[in-house]
Amino acid sequence: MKMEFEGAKISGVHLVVPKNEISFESEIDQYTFSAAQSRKLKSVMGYDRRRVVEPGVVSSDLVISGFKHLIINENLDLESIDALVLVTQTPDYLIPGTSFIVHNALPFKKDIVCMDLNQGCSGFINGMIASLSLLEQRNINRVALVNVDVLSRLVAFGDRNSRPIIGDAASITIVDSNESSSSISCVSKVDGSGWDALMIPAGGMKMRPSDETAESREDESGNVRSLNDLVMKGDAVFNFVMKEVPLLIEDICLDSQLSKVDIDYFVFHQPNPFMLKKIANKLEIPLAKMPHKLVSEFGNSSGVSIPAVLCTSFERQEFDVGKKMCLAGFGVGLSWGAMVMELEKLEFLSLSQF
Amino acid sequence: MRKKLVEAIGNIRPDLEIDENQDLQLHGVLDSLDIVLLVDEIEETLNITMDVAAISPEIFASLNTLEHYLKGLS
Repeated sequence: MKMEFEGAKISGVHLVVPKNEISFESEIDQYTFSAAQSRKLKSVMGYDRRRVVEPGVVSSDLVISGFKHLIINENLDLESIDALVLVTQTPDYLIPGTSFIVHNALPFKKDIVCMDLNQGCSGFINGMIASLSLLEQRNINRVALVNVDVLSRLVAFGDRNSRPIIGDAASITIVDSNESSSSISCVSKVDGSGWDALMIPAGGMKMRPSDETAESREDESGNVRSLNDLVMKGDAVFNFVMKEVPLLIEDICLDSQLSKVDIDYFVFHQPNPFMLKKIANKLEIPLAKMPHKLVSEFGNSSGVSIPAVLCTSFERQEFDVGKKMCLAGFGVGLSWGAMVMELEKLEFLSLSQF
Repeated sequence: MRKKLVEAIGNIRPDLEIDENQDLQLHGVLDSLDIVLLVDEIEETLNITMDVAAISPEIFASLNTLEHYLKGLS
């Protein structure tokens, strides 16, 4: 699905990461890697450090902390926000949506749209599409797009494929109406046949959590997890990304009537450095234009990874002169999406810790 | 090439006993993480670039299938 939006811009991006940092070395005994594998995993897959929440910390904690930071440090006026779009796979409760918890905790106005979207690694792109669509309404001039996940709480300790790389984070992106902004091209794609490639089997209505679903079992690859934990079919996800993402980027460049050399930066979801280098290689994009090391410092924070790269790889001043950006997310669904837009004159591009 | 390939697999999975002169079943032995690490190791050892979008599970089924695929690249 191709979409084109006019008259809107990103005004600021803020990232919240937990203070709690865990190193791969400190956890290595809980996995079954040989010393040679561990060395290789560090250099190839970026297994190193990650930020994860302390026990009991929920998504809304990170988000509320982020908004408080923006109110105090960036003079964000919550009265100016007409819509709050919150994208998460780790809601505080099944009911109500986490956007309502955030709304209650802070002085938002009542004349506002609050909505929660369940999206994974494409969550920033789909959240932007929802935000830009809302901005087409006359009465909506400013949207706060929130991406947040505390997936570390849903990954088993013995999951050697996912646990060493999962990080927690939240981001707040302010999207404003702005008549003079250049148009934004978006593409969104889905292949529902891969719905079970990344999933948590128990916890929803299909399989209620119980003592039985909490029982851990070892799979043929040595991963120990229960039905309450995140499970990823690594090979299926890998093949999907390598097949679809390069095509997606070629497509969106064509739609935007831009060649890849016209794009200043390619900011993609951050599964691991290996996959990103392969994508860059396939697309013949210099790695200097594609940040790819977020995972080694903060972990893979799912839908937060694109704003996380913006906040950790760039200085705000870099955008004083507009930069053409190609952003892309891919994962749960299976879904994949991209957007090409100009980032310019950001009011803030910041990071705080919780 | 076979010797280097055996070396590369051994670097990733030192627990496997590999006889260079015999085929070795890799299907069900290597998981997705092993395959990623092996691709990187092979690229380094043989100084080639593998198009990972074209890699199917059949290629990694055994030592022979992998060698056959790599010979086709060079």
